[in-house]
Amino acid sequence: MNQNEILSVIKREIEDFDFKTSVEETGAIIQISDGIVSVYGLNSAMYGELVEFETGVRGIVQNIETNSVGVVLLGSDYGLREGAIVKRTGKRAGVPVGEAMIGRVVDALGTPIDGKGAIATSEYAPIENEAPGVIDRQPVSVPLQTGILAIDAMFPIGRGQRELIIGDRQTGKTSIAIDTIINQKGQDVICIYVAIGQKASTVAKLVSTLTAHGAMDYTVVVSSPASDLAPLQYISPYSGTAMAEYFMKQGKDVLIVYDDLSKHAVAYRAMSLLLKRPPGREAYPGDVFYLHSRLLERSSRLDEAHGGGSITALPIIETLAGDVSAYIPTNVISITDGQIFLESELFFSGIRPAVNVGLSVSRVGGAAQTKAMKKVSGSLRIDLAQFREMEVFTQFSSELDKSTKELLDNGDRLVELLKQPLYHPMSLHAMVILLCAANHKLLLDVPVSEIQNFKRELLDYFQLRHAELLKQIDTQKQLTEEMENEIVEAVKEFKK
Amino acid sequence: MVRLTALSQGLGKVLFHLHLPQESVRQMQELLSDEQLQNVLCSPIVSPVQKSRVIEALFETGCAKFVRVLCQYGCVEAFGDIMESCHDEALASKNWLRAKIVSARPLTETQAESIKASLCERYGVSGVELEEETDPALLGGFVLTVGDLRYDQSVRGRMKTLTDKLVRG
Repeated sequence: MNQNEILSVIKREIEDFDFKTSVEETGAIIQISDGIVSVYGLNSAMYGELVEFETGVRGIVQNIETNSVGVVLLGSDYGLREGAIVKRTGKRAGVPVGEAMIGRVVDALGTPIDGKGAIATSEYAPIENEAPGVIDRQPVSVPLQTGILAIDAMFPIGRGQRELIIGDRQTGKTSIAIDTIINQKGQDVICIYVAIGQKASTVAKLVSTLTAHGAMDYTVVVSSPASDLAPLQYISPYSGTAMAEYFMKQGKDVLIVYDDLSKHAVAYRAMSLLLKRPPGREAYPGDVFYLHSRLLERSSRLDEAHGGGSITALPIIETLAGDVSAYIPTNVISITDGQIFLESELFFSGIRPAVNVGLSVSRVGGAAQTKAMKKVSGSLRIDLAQFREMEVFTQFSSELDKSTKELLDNGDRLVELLKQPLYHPMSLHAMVILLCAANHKLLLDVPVSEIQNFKRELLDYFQLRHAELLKQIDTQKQLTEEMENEIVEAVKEFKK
Repeated sequence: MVRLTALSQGLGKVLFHLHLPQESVRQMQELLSDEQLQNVLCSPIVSPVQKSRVIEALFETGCAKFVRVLCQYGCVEAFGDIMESCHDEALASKNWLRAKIVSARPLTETQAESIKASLCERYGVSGVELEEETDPALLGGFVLTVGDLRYDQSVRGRMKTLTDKLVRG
C-alpha cells in the first residue's frame, strides 16, 4: 500500500468511528505474586474469561471466590500495582486460527515468534472446546504412516488415534514424532508440533530440521519454552488443539504432537499451587487427569456428516528410570489408544528406534493398517517375542538344536532390520519388501553386520528393476500372491 | 490481603448494624488512626490481656468490644477499609448508591445533579453519593465508576479506543 492509500484508510476509519460511551466492567488488583493476581470486583467474570490489565497484558480467570477473582497472568507483571484497574473482555481465551498459520512458529497465544511478520488470520477460536460427541465420530480405519518400520508394522497408528510415546530422557521420543511429521510430506496431512517447556535452542534446531526436510510447508510449531510463564505453558497444548480443530472441521487430517505432557503437568501443578488449590498425590492438583483427558479427547475422527476430518495425537511423556506406573504416565496411558514404549537399555545397545515390543501396543491395531502391511507383518511380534524368550535360555545352555539356532538367527536379523536411522522415513513399498523378504527367511544367509547395507542395496535394486511393482504396492496398498512371489524371486535374484 | 478484604467487608457490615453512636465511632476512628496505638494493638509481643486493658481505657464500651474483635482477627490496620465497608452498608440501607466521577474540569452543581438524577433512574435508587475528582489528563469528558462498572466518556478514552482500533485493524 502506498502512503496515500494508507492515509485514506485511516481517514475512513476515523470517519466511521462510532463515539459510543464505553462501558466496562472493572476490578482492582489487591494482590500480585508469582504471576497470580487477586482482583477485587469483576463480580460477573466467567471462569476461563480473558481479562485485560492497565499495562495491556492479559490474564485468564482461574479462581472465582466470594469477594475476589484469581487471574493467571499471560505476560509480565511489570507495571502492575495494587489498585490497578482490570477490565473484563467478555471473551474466552482464544488463539487466531487459519491457513496462514501453516509454516509459522507461534507462541501459546498465537503470536508469531519466527520473525516473518504478522499472521493474517480473520478467525479466532477458543482454546477450550468440547470434544466431539460419540455420534459425531467414526471408527479409525485410515492409516497414518509414520515411516518407521517398527511402528507401522507392529503398532500401526490410524488417523484419529491417540498414540502415546513414552520413555526416559534421550530415548528418541521426539525423533519418532519428527520422523512421523517428515513422512507426512505429500500425504495431505497438516502437522502441528507443540513444544511445552523445552529449551528454546532445542525448538530452534527442530524447526531448522523440519525446514531442511521441507516439512514446514505443512507444519505449524507452537512453542512455549521453559522460560515462559507456567500459565502460558499450561495453555499451549490447548492452543495447538484449537488450531488443529480449525482444519479438522474443514474435513482435513491433522497430526498433532504434544512434546511433552509431563512438563505440561508440572506447569499446571505450579499454577495450581500458586492459586492455592489443594495439592493431591505428588502435589498435583486433583484434576490433573482431567487436564489431559479433555485435551486428548478432542483428537478424533469425525464422521462424513461433519466433514470426515481427523486429529491424530502423539502425546509424549517422559518417565523417570523407566517407571511407567508413576502418576502422570498411568493417567495418560489410560486415556490414549496405545503406547510406544522406548527403553534406554535398547537405545544404548544400538537398537534405534528403541521400541520395547513387549510393552508397546496400538489398540486400533490392524484396522489402521493397509492390507499389504497386515499381510507381511502378521507374525513379526510373535517372532520377536519367541526370540527374546529363547535369547534368555541360551545364556544357560551351550548346545543348540537346528530350529533354535534358526529362530535366534532370524531374530537377530529381524532386530537389525527394524533399526532405522534418524530422519529417514521409509515408504510403504520399502517396508513391505523388507518384511516380505524376512518372512520368507531370505535374510538368514546375510551376516547381521551386513543387514543395513543389504537393505539399502536391495531397495535400490527394486527401484531400478521393479519400479512398477513398487508403484503397484503404493497405489493398491495390498499384496497379492503374485506380487509376493515377484518380490521373493527378485530378492533371490538380487542375492545371486 | 484477600482474607483481610473479605473480613473488612464483613466487619464493616457488623459495625453498621451495631448502631453505635456516631460520636463514638468518630472517636474510635481518630484513635485507631494513631500509628503508635496501631502498633501496640497489632504487636504479638503485647499480650491480649494488656491489649484489653488499653482498649478499655481508651474506648467506650460498645466500641471497646468491637476493637477487641479487630485485635482478635488481626484487622486493626484494615480499619480504614472497615469504615468504607460500613459506609457502603449505610448507603445500601437507605437505598443509596455510591459513585465516583473523574472529570477534566470541575463539575457545576447542575451537571452533578443531572448525573445523580440519571443514576437514580438507571439503578432505581433513592439517592447517589457522588465523589468528585478532577484530572486534566482526561482532556475532556469524564469517567464515571459505579461499583464494578466504568463509563468512559472522556476524550482520552475515546482516543485510546480509536488508536487500538487503528492498530488492530
